[in-house]
Amino acid sequence: MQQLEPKFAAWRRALNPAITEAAAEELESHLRAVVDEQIAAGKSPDEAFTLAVQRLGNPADVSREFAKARSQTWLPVKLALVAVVIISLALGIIVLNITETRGLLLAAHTFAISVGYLSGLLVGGLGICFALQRWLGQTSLAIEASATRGAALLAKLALVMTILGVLLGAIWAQGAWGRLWAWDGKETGGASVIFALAIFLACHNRPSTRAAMIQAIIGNIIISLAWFAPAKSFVILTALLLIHAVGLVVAALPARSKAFAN
Amino acid sequence: MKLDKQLVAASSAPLVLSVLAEGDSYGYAIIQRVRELSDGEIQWTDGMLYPVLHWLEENGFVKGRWEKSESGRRRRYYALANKGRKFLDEQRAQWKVVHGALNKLWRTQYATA
Repeated sequence: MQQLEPKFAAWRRALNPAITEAAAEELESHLRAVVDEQIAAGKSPDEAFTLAVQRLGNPADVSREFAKARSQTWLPVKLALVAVVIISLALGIIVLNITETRGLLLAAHTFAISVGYLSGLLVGGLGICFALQRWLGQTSLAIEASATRGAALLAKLALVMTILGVLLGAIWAQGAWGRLWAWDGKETGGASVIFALAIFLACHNRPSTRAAMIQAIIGNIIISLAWFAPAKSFVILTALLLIHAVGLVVAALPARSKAFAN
Repeated sequence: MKLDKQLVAASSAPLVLSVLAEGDSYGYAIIQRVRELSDGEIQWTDGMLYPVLHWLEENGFVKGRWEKSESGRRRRYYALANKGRKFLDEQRAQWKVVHGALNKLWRTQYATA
């Protein structure tokens, strides 16, 4: 049946791009089962494939059903997006106030880094929420899809803002301290966060949602360290690290319902 | 025979839930079972099953999980949840009412058949 692999791949690519990897996998697995059934009934591989595609329906139609019904937004994602908007507005106001005393460049840097780090923390927050729901056995393909979309959106925002903040910080450092970059606590922190977010986004297209969420929680630990360690805010740092350690433990636990493994 | 669209739609959830009440299963196998039970008369379009399954999953009536199949690929299995069992009982009660009424009428109207 090796000759059919390109056909399976082409069929899968023809599915509506809005459906999740998981749903695509489920449909493909069904297609393969029908092909096997037809081959067992004596058809040639090519005939079997054609019949199976007819039975399942054309890929665009089959997946359209999924795409239209599946655009609900998981509650934690809604909350996270609202939080980002509110936080950005609040930060904008705070930062405008310090523009006079500290200068526009530093103000802009503070705004960008704060929005970046906070958005990043929200991604990890989604990871913890997902881990909890998964442990309680209450996830579904629709929730996974919404969680993945929400996390990707926030992670991209976080990455862009953090890069912007780090660049602005370097330019300011050149003016204030005479050097662009010296790997001090905050600079190293910023670089690590960029690194973590970039890895999360790069891997995010392929792995299971659970893997992505674990990465997100680890990313949060990095952000927490990057932000609060240089500032020596050890109480906040300890609290954040504890929350995320619990999150990782919950993510590692098997999900409650029998043999649920995702 | 060609079954009325609305009849197929109304019966899809109770059929899927009842098949899962027999034991955990996956999409393709559920369709096979329904076909077998109806002597081939209920011919669901294979693609039509999945929106029903996912709707059932979102509402907590069934629980989905991934398992490795014999070929090594992942396969999504579904299990009836407690909430689903209750929903199925409600559906069964409704079908009994309708079936009961029709049966009484048809028993007398088609007594010789």
